[in-house]
Amino acid sequence: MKTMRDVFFETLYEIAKVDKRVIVLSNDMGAPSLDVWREKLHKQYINCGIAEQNMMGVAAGLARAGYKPYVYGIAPFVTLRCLEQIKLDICSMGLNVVIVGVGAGTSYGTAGMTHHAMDDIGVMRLMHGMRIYSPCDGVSTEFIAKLSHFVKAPAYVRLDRNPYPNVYPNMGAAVDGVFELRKGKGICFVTTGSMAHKVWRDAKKINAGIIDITQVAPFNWNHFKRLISRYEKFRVYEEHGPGGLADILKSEMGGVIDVKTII
Amino acid sequence: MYESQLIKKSAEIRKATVKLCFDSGDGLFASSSSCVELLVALHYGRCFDFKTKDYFILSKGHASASYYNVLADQGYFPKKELKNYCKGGMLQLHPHIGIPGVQFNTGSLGHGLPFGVGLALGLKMRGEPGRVVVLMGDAECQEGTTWEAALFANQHNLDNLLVIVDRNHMGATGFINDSMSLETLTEKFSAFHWNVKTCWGHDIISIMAKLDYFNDGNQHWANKPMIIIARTVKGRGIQRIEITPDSHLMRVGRDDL
Repeated sequence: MKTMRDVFFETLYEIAKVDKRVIVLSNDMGAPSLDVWREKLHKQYINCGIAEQNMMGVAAGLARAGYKPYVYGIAPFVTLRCLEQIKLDICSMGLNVVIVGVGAGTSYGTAGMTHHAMDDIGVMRLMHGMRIYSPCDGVSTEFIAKLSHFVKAPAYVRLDRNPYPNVYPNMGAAVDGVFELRKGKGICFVTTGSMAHKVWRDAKKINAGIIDITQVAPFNWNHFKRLISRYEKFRVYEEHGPGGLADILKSEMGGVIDVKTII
Repeated sequence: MYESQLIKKSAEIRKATVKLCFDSGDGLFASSSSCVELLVALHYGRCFDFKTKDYFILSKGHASASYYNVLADQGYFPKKELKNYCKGGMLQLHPHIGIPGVQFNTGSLGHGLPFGVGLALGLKMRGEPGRVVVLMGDAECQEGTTWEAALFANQHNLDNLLVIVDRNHMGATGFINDSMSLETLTEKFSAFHWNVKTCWGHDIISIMAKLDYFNDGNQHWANKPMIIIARTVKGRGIQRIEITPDSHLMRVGRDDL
């Protein structure tokens, strides 16, 4: 089973072989899928060193020069650490930069809180024009890798660190950004990221539905409201603190009964 | 333009800067005035073509009072726009890309150089002939991103990048040597393997000599970026402002005209 990050970069590799504008920047962070990049597409890979603020500024400059940069690193370091650069250099200029943050939630468990991302969605929501994608398996990740190449806007892709089995039947399911993984009755679990995998046992016990969100911003309200209309109440599962998916739903839908995180 | 014309143009722009700061009651005159000759040498001189080929980033965005005068005089936008400087119109205190001729939203210090470095890298990778010029303040060099960018520019041999530092030795609340000294700035950038040149920032002839040096591709360290550290006086042109360390926020009064 491959990690979502490796699926992402393998998909991107096929795109980058043809589109020479795609360029990957990293803050000295490696990956098995990037070893191939370093070897075969070395002109499209830059190790910017452990200087995230500069890396974001450089990504913005490269985008201005006509490239499509993908900035890769552990989630907190490519979001919070260089937030002003994301806000000014990328978002205020409307530049197409894709930020790929690995280690959503506490998936870097034993590394400690410095490597955890429990606030990245909340913070990226505030960035003007930033798309936020949060796939949960290989299929949705592959789709989002391709979508990120098309989208002409700043984007943040939040990937869990661990490998997960595929739960999406095909890439078409990920198109709307909202997908019903399990039809249930009465209560619905709304999940994003790794939580889509952790709720199945509880969902089966009480016959709850599961709706997974892969596109957190801009949120597809039409589709979501149509799917949720069958249920009486919903519960949000996300590996995130305040300001994440639960807050998004609360502000639009009104009361949310529960927010849970299953470690 | 030849040097004698540039000297005349600098006097003209400085007068216009004084007038703009007085008329609007706003604008950071001291910071804008210390880089007048640098702006004129870059925009009117023979070395760069910012309208077609090259890129200019005013990383010390608060020097907008003189920068806008240069842009207006060059025809990027009508001069009557200057009447609304800092009054809620297009011309805000800091340049933004909504203004014709501006390449990057500046105002927050330390952003211009990394962006310029990325742009220079992109141009180099694409084989394009354009150069990137970043005009920074010297207190701005206290920002850590300056040095991150310096490391990066050296690593990637960005010899199409020119940085000019407006070395007036002052920040917003006094002398830089009282907050976080940058002495000696020349040695610091030399240590980062940049080509370092110095000049007198109010002497057109001195500035043009160094710009020619860059333009002709003369390099002490081959393939490395270049920095020109221009010794200037903050608030140059109005003696009352020149002589005090509190010059950053001083406004232009009627007597100064």
